[in-house]
Amino acid sequence: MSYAENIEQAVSVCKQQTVLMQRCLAQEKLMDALKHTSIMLTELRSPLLTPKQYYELYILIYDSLSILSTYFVDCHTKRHHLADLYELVQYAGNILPRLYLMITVGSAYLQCADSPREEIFKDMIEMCKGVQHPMRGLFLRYYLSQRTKEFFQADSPEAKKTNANFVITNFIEMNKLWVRLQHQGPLREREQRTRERKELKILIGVNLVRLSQIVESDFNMYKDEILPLVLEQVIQCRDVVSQEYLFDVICQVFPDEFHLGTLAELLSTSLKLNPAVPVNKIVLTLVERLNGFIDRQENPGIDEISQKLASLNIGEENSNLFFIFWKFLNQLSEERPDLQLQELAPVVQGILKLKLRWGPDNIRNVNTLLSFMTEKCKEHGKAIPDECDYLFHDLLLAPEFTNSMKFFYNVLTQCAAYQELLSLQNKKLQRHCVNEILDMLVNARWQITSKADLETILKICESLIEADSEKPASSLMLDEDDALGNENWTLSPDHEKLAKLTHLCFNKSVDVHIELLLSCRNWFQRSGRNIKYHSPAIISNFWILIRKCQWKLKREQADSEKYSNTIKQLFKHISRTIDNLYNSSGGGCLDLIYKLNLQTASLADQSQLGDIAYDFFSQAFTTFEESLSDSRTQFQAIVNMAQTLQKTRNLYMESYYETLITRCTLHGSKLLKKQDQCRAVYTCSHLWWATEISLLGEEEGITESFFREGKRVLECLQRSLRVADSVMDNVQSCELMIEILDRCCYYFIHGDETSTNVSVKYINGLVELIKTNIDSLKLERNSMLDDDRTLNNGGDKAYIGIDGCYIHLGATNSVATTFTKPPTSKSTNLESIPIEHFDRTLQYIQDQKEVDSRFKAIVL
Amino acid sequence: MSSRKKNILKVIILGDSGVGKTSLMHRYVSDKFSQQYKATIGADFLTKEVTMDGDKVATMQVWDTAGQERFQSLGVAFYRGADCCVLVYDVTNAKSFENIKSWRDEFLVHANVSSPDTFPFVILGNKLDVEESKKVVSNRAAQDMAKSLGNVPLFLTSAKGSINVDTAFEEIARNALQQSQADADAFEDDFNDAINIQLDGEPSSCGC
Repeated sequence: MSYAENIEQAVSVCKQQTVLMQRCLAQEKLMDALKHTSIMLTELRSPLLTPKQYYELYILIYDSLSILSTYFVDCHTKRHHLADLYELVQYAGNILPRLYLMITVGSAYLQCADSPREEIFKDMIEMCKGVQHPMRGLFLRYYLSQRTKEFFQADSPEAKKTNANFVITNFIEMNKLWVRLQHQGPLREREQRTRERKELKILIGVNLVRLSQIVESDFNMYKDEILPLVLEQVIQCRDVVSQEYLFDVICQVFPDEFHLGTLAELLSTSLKLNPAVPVNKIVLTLVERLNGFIDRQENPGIDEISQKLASLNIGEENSNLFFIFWKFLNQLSEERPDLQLQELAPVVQGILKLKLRWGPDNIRNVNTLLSFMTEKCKEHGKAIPDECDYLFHDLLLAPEFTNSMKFFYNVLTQCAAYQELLSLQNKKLQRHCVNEILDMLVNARWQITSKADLETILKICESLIEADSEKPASSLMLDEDDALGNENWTLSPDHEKLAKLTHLCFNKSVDVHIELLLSCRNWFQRSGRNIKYHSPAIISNFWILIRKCQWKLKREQADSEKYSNTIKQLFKHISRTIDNLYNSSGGGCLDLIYKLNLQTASLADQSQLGDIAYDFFSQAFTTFEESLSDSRTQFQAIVNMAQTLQKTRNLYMESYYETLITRCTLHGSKLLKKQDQCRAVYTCSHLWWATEISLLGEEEGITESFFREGKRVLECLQRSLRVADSVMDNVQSCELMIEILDRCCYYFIHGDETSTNVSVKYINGLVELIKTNIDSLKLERNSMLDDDRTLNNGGDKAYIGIDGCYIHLGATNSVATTFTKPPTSKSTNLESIPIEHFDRTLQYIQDQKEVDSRFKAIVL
Repeated sequence: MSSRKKNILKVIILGDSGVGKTSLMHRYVSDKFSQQYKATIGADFLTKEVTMDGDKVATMQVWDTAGQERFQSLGVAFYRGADCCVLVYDVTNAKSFENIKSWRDEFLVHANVSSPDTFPFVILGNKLDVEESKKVVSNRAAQDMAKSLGNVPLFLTSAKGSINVDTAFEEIARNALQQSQADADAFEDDFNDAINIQLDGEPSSCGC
């Protein structure tokens, strides 16, 4: 007999023969029907089919044989006796069709009440040994299993046992066939065979499904009679594909409760498998399954679960899951010293998962597991391979940890092994993990209140703190660059996160809070020049604490001495932090240091601590004098200083204030550029004319203690006017004078002319002077007025800003652009800047005449 | 030869892992329910004799399938020849509901049915017994879905509480029978030609 050349033909032959068989059956020609069936079954001998095609054919043939089977049963004893038929089909010429027919008849016979059940079963399974070709044998035995399954529903333990033995025998034989498939044929087709084997695995697995159906919920039968036999077969076959698959199937098809009762057996079996079987997969399958058990409970509370466990009657030794797995882990590492970290890490993670799902609150066990892993990493000796990165990342940031911030925080602060394990990883992974940890803490706004916790967390962050702390191998030139303040302020997300950590520190007690901040400072000290990223955060937290103490000082009179001491202490800490910053940054962030000093000085003044404020101002001056070299920065620094000083109120003793403002003005008058000098000095004029700060309860006209010295104000204005006049550029010169005029107006409004010394006469003189200058400017402009392009320059406007920059305002889009140098394009008419400015100022004075009669004396 | 006696009705149950396909089958075929969870691997069937409209007797072959693809290594050849396909979702699992449509498509791709537009599907929303707060698929959404898939009959069932299971399977059996008869007729017409040609070309070649 031959078979078709491909699956399509084979299918068509089967369909054809099925119809023919049915016709013969309709005509009661049994022999002919059997003949057609044989032809159909011959197709199953084809060596050309892949497992999937074979399965397709098998399904078709199964349906056909079902028709035949129904006929056999229907006509039993009417037209034939099934015992006779069973004999008859033995004469089929070929073994494969013969056995299929035999099983069909045999299973039909089993449906009849008078059949010798055991004999038939025994005979069928014996005969199946006749087919040793793996794929055909597997499908034949699968057929046997499918045909007989309906007879396995038994209630008596005896019958159950017989049935189970039948299935187990079939299972063992099938597994042997399956394993043998791996070793047949040429070596080069090995991979293909492995692939085909994996497709066929279902056929073997079905036997275990069958066993599960037979055993139902009889745990003792499972534990004593089924599992040992199955596991023995699994161990004996020594085959990787088979062992891996069968373990998976055992986990899947038997109920969770059974696994809970036989954990120790399952785990110890996993140690006896072929070393090539990935032990981690096996453990994870089991863990998933057991965790699924909790998910499937209606009330997955801890108490309910332990009650449920108690009710399962699984024995004392099986009730402590963690202990069983822990024992297994130790055994595993003992018996398989060759096991790679790659394989071990997922096992540990799996156990951790299980542990946390089944009894989440026990930190000690987590630490035990993590120390185990740490030891393993240490034993590994060499650097941990990069391929492991994701494994350890997953382990250290397992969702089981991070799902709850509270729990994760406990792990971080209470598991010593966590930090140790992390520190054994490569720098890249460490930094990555620390970044994630910090993100989580910051996003949760988690408050760190204890020093011990903070120290642990900072230790965890060590790799991040110390990253890039080494100075780049620098030549002398580079150092000079730094000294000039050209430090690169690139964004550093890592250090930014550390700075955020500072803000998480909090304690109700100011003293403890200070300790926390000092811990941060000490740790951050290790990051070398990078402390410029965190120092401002630490200092601003000190500021907050100073304010808090001030507030407490007012509320808790009894402790006032304590708080005022604390405040002084805090200023010392700030001073020290700024010093550190100065020393570590190598002169790289002087502007920052200057501003921090000023800000702290201002705070000290507000705390009525004149001495301290004076010190910080002096520090700021020192920084200015020693190091600030860029002329723009210098000008800004003077303005900043003047602003801060003008608002101080507690520096009047020992003429601190006068010393400071004189120094400030002096520095202003010595700036490099004349424009800067001029502007700095007229800005400093305000230092001699304090104005009300309503927040402090001051009020113009009522408060009498304002620091005011009109003479000095005028001196300043005169001095800046002199500088303005000496500026060679007419546009600049004119603009500066108008700015001085604006200041004069300010003093005219804010004080009596006798006290400010800014008199009508002086203002009139200034207006006159500016007019003259403007006229000559207009002449300059007129010479170019003929040019149409300049007249209609599209309405673009230019201004000069208060710091001397040029502001260019586009007419169409109102977008302002700032330049430090005058625009070079011809279309911008520089002369009109002061001209228009002057017009606006005159207009202002004109308007003031309406509300303030004193202005009427000013001649325009 | 006027009517081919095909009295086996093949019904396939599909749906995501854990929605209760096996439980539904067991409830229907043997009226049993087990609280224990076992994953299904591969595909297997149980049979049940059904009587419809008083006199029509048929054997229903109910195929329970693995929801997890890794347990379907030999492919889904058993879809072929199905007379009705049952799509199951879990009323407490939105994902399983969303996947109904893809299960239907998956079935149509592999089952090779003669006319996909008229092939009978039935949708079951299982686990109706769970407390209201856990239900996430609304009846309305289910009805809309059933309508959009071509007025597919929809039943809300509970294998555990034995709610609506028999009613649903009666409908399934009716649909399957109808489909089976329609198919059988078409098959008859189709096949008579084919068979003649084959017989002419290869007259009783076997001699076993």
